[in-house]
Parts: sequence; structure tokens; C-alpha cells
Amino acid sequence: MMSRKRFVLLAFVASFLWMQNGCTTYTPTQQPSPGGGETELSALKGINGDIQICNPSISQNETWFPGCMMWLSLGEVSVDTSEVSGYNITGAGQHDRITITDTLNKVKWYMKVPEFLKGNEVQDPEWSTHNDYATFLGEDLNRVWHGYVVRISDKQLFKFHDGLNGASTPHVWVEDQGDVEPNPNAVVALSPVSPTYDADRLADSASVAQFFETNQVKFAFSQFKDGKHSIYFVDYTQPSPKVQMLRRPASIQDNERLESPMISPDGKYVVYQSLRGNDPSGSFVQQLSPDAPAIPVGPEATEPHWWRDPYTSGNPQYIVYSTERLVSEKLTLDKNDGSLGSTYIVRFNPISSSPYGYAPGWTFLSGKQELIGLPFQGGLSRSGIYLCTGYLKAYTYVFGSVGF
Amino acid sequence: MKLFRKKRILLRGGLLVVLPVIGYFAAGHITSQFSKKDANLLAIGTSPWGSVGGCGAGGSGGGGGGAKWVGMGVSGGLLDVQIMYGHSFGQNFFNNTVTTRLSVKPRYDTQIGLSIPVTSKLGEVQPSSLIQQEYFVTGGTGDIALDLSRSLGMSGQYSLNLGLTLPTGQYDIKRGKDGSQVFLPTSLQKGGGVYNASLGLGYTKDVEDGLWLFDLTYSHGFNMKPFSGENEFNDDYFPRYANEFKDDKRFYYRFKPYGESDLGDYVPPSLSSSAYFGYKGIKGYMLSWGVTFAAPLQVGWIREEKFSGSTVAYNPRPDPDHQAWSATLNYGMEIAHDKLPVFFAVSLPLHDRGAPNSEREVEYQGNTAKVKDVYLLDKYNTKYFSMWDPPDWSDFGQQWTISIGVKATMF
Repeated sequence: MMSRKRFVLLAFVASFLWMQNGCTTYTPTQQPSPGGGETELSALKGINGDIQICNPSISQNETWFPGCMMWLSLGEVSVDTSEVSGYNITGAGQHDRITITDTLNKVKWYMKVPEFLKGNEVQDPEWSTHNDYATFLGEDLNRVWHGYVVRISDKQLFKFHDGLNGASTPHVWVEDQGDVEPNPNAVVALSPVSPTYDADRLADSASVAQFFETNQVKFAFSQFKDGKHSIYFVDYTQPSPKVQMLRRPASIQDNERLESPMISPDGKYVVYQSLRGNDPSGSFVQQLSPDAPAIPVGPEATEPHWWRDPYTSGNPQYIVYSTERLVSEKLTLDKNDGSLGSTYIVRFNPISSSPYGYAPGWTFLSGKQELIGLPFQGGLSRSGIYLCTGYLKAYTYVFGSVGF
Repeated sequence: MKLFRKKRILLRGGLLVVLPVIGYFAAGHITSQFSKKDANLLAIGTSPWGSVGGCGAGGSGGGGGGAKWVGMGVSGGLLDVQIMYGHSFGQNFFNNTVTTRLSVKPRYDTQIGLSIPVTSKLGEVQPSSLIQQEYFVTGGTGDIALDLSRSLGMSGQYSLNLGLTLPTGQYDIKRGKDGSQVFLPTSLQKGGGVYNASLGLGYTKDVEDGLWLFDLTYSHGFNMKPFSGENEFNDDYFPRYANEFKDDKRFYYRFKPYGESDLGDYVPPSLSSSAYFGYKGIKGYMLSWGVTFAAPLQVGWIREEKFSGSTVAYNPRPDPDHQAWSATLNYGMEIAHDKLPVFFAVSLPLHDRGAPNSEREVEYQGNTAKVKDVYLLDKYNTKYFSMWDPPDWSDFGQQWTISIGVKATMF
């Protein structure tokens, strides 16, 4: 006969287990935003089924990845995997893969967290100016982030920096060649090139040249140094490359973070944004040299990217930016009125008579135009007909012709 | 016996010394904290609500922080009444709560209680890093609680305790000008917006000149709208969501077996325990020392605070002030009286360092590199929230709760 004491104890434990197993399967998730619906035929294409993504980046390889975007999944994924193998939908983890999808939401390429990162996260993927490279951050077991480059065609990885942070948002400029065809059977692996790292935790120039098969390589990234988040760069085209800090804009405060640097297609300039807390406080463009002054793109400009006009003599360069940093609303064409944010393009006009390519007072930015009255933060494709964006919702947009 | 005689002397002396010291220290602490004019010193600034105090002691849904009356009390009438006043304060907040508990004993081993809290709160709020922080005051009736306890065992040494908190307190208090309003943080709301059921087991062991009390409690939130079948704010704040998400339980439900409020706050289930020693070796007094420990079993979430015009996005996120565990150190003294016993208590919280709001990165000072934690950028990343960290010693001693209570029995 069970004693009363034991009965009470058993009842308590059983009730606890019942409540635990029966009632706590719920875990809160982000709530999708409401909004009207667009049709399949719309120029606005939803990506990842209304589920959040991070770090959208427009394709730089329009031969093999036309209208595609590179992005990082937050966890759950909702994509068409019919053209790839090994891409699991169920069990997808937070920041566990980088994906390239086309306008029909089909996965065209992906890279899961490499084995040597032991299941930790990747962060901040960004397509290079070169069609076959992308940068990203990888976190190790000590929660330290490292800067990597992935060669998209063969999924070979190269660690270019041995100690960054989770918001370093790196970008690599490599002298571009013709579009490279990806190998569909490639497996993610660390490149056999084994760099050594100097006191700045930077890979040696010989290894960089060996991996990229050229020394026409430059990196830019954000780094926290001497109490400030600033933009740093390293120019491997120089005989003795070293990490150098870009002069911080005079108008910003020490506690404002500078991040998301993008090196221009000609490799001479960099554009980046500043953040106060999580709120954008403007974007700046600057020559890639330590003493060059920063020129504001605009206080409303966020997530700036470059676009080089392939159709005009001299291939002038433009800056494309969004006025909204994080797309949290559902985008629909009937909201193409700027109420949710807009995407602008502005021409960059360097002058040869100035050592920096521009001078104070010079109208170096001209012809600002609204590309679309919706916020697209992932850049304009090389052809000028695709835009991409994403945060709580992700989209690509297809212009009928060049977007402006 | 010699040991206890020594203890008595120490305790009698200690009593006379400890109380004035605590009173002096507490008063001095209040003065020093609130005389700081530089509001920046008060703001923590790691998150919009990071500057809001007052959530440290409890953990999400945890049971720490409240004073437990350890003493002889009074009984014999049909209706027992306990009135407890608690004053909690920290660097940038204080809460005053008067809780009246009415209880009856339908059987010699069973007690049914009803607790009605009335609160007055003041706290500093900074809804956005771009906006100057401000102090806000709220007050009124909080969440009413029912409890049922039954003694078990040969000498009633065990007790089974059931509790139910009802969401009667307002939890959508907002401030600001039209078009730029914000919801005040949950610590400044009067209620939690969810039902909370608890199941507890207690054990009392009598020893010479004292007693030990142990408790283990499981709390579980839930929510229901049995009649309307919908989120009570569908018309006021979430009309766009209500129109589109007809099948979403966040906007249409009759019962949710989890503690999610209609604004998106999520109160996770939690386990809490306590151990107290009550010393009754001094005639007319009962002194007690105790430790409580609480741990939520999941990460708590909080609502979106900022309005967009007259509506607000239903956009909850993990609570940046979530603590994986919390504890309190308690000292209490009952002045026994056959009609009107009085109880004084002091509680000192100790808690986990909290969600780190940071990721680890390499910082350079000149050419010297060192690893340090920096600001966490992804507000939905729960990766570090549920980790158990060492105690946050920097906050130890910065928050206190002083309680005074009386009991009476009537009819």
C-alpha cells in the first residue's frame, strides 16, 4: 500500500512532467507582418516564404546566377530545393547556411557551416565585386569571429582574418574576370592554401595571391579598436600590405558604429553606413586611403552598394542605397510610394585633379533618382534590372528594363 | 544547550544591531542613488529597456523576491487577514506594493486565500537610444491571486500548494504624445496579462528552538478568452493582423496552454525553491533567514514598445533583461502577538548576469589584441539568453526589498 507521503510526491512529480511535456512545446517566434498579396506574375518576388532572412546580397554573376540573391537564413527555411541535393528544410538551424536563390525561390547554390566551425554560426555573407567570391564571418567555439572568403564555383574557403567580430561585415574586392560556372558537386572545404597570420591577425600576402591567383585583392571590414567601431582596409596590391584605418567622418560621434563597407568595382573607393545603436545615421563614401576625408552620401542613406554602368562609355559608378535598413513590413506594389522606404541611385563623379578623387564643395554625387518607392537594401544587379532586399520578409524585384 | 545559549545572546545582540544598520544602509542607499543628477550614469544603455530596473529579483515567472512570513502568525477566527507592504528599490526605480491576503480554513488542514495587490511604481525608461530617458509613474490594482494549501503527513509537515494568478491588472499602460506613444516595459505595468498556475510542495521540519521550511514550486502560464475567442487588442492595436491572420492563435484563441499575453509578452514556465530557517529561541520573536532560487525553463519574450501612429506592430522579441536564474537572500523578524503580530523583512536579490547583449570579438589597443564582449546586434537571437552565467556581482547590493506586514484574525 502506497503511503500518503509517497502518493503526494508522485502526484507532484507526475503533474510537473505532464505540464512540462504537455504544455511547453510552444516557443515564441517572430510574427509575420500583415499586408496585401501580390501575384506570381508580379515583378516583386517573395523569397523564403515570408520567413526572415539576413544579409541579402544581389548576384554579381548574371551568367550562372541571373536575378539571384545570396542570403543567410535565421533558422526556418521555405525554398524550392528541386535543383540541389542535401539542402534540408526541416532541422535548419540559426545562421547555419548561406543560400543563393533565384526569383522563383529556387535554391541555386548553398553552403552549410563548414565542419571545422563545429556547428557554430556564420554571419554577414556579401558577394564580392568579383563574380566568384563572397566574404562571410565564421564563429569558432570560443565565440570569436573570423573572416572567410568562399570561392563560389568550388566552395573552397580561405580565412583572411583571424580575429574579427560578429558585425565586421567584411567585403572583398578582386579584379574581376568573366563569370565562372559553379561546380554542382563541389563540397565545402578549407582551401589547401595555409596562410600565416601577422600581429594584426591578417593572412600573409603570398597565401592570398595563391588562393585568388592574383594579388589584385583588397579587403574592407569594420573593427572595434581603441573604443571605436571604424572601417579598416588592407590592400594586397601593395608590396607590404597592412591593416589601415579609414579616417572617421568628422560629423559622427565616437559611439557611432561604422560598418558594411563596400569597395567600388574599380577598387578605389569604399562606401559604408554609420549606426547609432541599431538606428542608421547616414552613409559615407571615401577613397580607400587612410587620410582621405569622408563625404556624406546622405543622412537617410543606409545599406549602400555600388553599381557600375556597363552600358555607358567609361563605366561610371553609382551608389545605390535604401532609406530603410531593415525591411520589416510585407512589400507590395501598391505600396510603391515610399511610405515603407525607398531605393535611390546617385552618380559618383570623381575628379582627377584631386588627390582623393573629390574635393570639399565639389558636386561629386549627382542625378539622384528614386529607383523604386520600396526599400531594397541588397544592391542592384550588374545588368541593372534586379534588386533584392530582406529582413523579416525577403524579395527580389525585376525591372522590365534597366531600372532608371 | 550551551551552543544555543550562546546563539541566543548573539541573536539578541544581533537583533538590536542589525535592524538599525539595515535601516541606515537602506536609507542611505536610496538617497545616494536618487541624488545622482546625471541620468546617463543611471542608464545602462544595452537595450531600449536596459535602463529599466525592477525585474532583477524575480527572473521571468520566477518566485524570488517576495517576503515570506516565517512566524507563528495568528489564527482562530473565521477570516485571517494579512497585510504586507513591500518597498523595492534600485538605481533607477522603486515599487511600493500593499498586498492584502484574506484567507479562510474550511478544514483544519486546508486553507484558501485571496491576495489583492495594490502597487505604485516609478521607473526610468528609454524607449530608444535616440530619445532621452524619462521617469514614469504607474499605480493601481495588480493581478489578483488565489491559493489553496493543504497540510499532509502525520504532523502536517508536508503541504501541497496550488496557486492561480488572474490577469486583472492593466498591462497595456502607454505614455507619450499622440503618434509617438510607447508601451511602458512590463516592470512598470500593473499586471502580466496572463494566467499563472502554480503547484508547490512544502516541507517543514521542527528542530530545537526553530524550524526549517523548504518549498519547491512549478509555475506555468496560460491564457484564455473563452467567450470572445480573440485577442483583446485586435480592434485597438492590431486591426491589420486581425484581418489577415484568422488562423493565428496570437489573434484568435479561446485557450492557449502557454503564457503569452495579448501583446506578445511570453512568461515561460519556471521552477522555484526556497529554504528558510526560523529561530524561535527569543521569547516574543521569530527570526528567519532564507534563500530563494528561481529559474525560468525557457526564454521570456517582450512586446514591441513603439507605436506607429495609433497602432503598434505585433512584434515580440526575447527579453533583453531575461535572466537564466535569480535568487534572493532574506532576513525576517516576526514580533509575536496574540492579536496583531508584526513582521519585518529585508530581501537582497542576486541574479545571473543576464543575456549578454553581446558577442565576443577581438578588441585592439594599439597592437595588443584582447577578446571582449560587445553589443549583440540580432535582437531575435536567443542563443545566449538561456545560458547560465555566474552571478552579476556588479548589481549585488544595488536592489533591495523591505517589507512590513501585520496579521489579524476576525470573527
